[in-house]
Amino acid sequence: MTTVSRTAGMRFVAHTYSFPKDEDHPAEWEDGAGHYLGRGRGWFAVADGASSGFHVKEWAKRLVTGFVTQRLDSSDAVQNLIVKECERWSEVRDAPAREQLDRQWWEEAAPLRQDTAAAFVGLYVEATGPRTGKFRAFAVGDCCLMHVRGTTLLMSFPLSSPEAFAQNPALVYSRPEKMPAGVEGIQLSSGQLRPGDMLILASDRLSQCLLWHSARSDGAVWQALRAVNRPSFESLVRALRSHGSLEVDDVTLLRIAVLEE
Amino acid sequence: MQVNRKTPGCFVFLLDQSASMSQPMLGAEKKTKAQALADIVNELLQSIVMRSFKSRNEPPRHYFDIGLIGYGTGARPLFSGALAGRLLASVAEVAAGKIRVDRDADGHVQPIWFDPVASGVTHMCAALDLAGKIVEGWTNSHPESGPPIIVNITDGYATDGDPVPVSRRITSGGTNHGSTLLFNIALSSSEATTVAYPSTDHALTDERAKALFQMSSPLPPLMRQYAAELGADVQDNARGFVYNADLEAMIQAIDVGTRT
Repeated sequence: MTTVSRTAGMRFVAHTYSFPKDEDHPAEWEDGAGHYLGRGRGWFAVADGASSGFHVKEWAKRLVTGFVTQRLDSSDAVQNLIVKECERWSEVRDAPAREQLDRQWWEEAAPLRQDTAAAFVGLYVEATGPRTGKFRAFAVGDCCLMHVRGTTLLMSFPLSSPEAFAQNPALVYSRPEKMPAGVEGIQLSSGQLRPGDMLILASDRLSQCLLWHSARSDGAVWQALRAVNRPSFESLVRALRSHGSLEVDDVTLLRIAVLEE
Repeated sequence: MQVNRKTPGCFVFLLDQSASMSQPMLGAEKKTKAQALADIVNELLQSIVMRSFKSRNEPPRHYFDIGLIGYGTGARPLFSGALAGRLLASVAEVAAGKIRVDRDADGHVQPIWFDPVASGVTHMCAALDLAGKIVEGWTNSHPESGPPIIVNITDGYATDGDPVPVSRRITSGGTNHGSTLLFNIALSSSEATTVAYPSTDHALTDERAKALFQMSSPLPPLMRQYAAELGADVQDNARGFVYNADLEAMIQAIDVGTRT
């Protein structure tokens, strides 16, 4: 999907690409991605459903949709979104799957036993002048925002090296008691934008892979991402998996080009 | 590594069902070892099914293959009904293949795959041999999966030979991502000190306990980390072995050993 936001001095162009962990079961892609572009502003989000969770695709979608449609731009607002989605989640979790008599035992057990969780990164951008802009990013877990200028990675947030990715990252859980850090668990970053910059939001394993290549490729990976389109993205994912630098997992990339009007 | 349909995981559980399992389980009021083991493994199977149940109106996904072997006098697969005789079954087959669904005092479902048995001697070597055949076939057809995990739970020692050689044969195989893992949980018969995830056999005075230590694979980093989170004192070269396990230690060890 491609969307363009035009303002007095700067425009944002967004492309979203995704690829499932299993090409034979594309419906089992369990990330979420979305964006909303207004006049001189934009909201973007990627969520990565945790493999251990239940209905993670729906959870990831709710976090993303909430962020972009409510146009959030502060940690408090993101925290409020999470609290409300946790409250609403019981409706999804407890909804009967089918007629009571036809239910399998695992469907009956699900409400009691199943949690859902996702890593999340949300981004707010704003044009502040003819050639200037700013952004704020919010993250829980290991989906990352990468800010690229030319072929240089200026920053990666919240993780900045491939070694920083852990087996058990922080996640946005549907059960608030699993997030003892509460609002403090939401990490915040901000920065300045110039025309020509590229912002990347990526799911966890893709983020790790991009940082791995960034450290070794002298910027070639960012050149490749600037040029990528849907067919070449799919080829790229297959190649990275074959190379071994990208673990088999659902993959999501949201690319935002910052352009001069 | 992540389990999915293309790279499912594999668990094989070897359960001692010899006569000595009729003794009381330490830490479990009024339960025999056989009953405690059946309760915990039935609960574990439920947990593995639920880990693979991802979306409503869709059966559990094929994220795991599971083997369930009991041993006393001889070794045999414990699945019954539609799965009778099966050495390995997919998680969806396991979900559908329970023998009945009980309910606890609160009305919550408790699927049952096997009932407690305590009879005969301890043919652990036969069980290990069977497990070796199961995982050899599985690793040949799943080279890109993580290595299979065999969890052996016993309260005694092999009465049909030396289990160390067959264990070494098992752990010499594996997938492209690691050697087959064999973990051992030795249930306690008395109020003895539990030795959990040792890195040496120095704390073990019994030669047969030392043999179980030798048979046990080193814990992979993820499991070490998880064991530490649960409060265990684990060194870098900790083995997947718990000696003199009471009920709590057994539950924790199964939890650690099935962490993927």
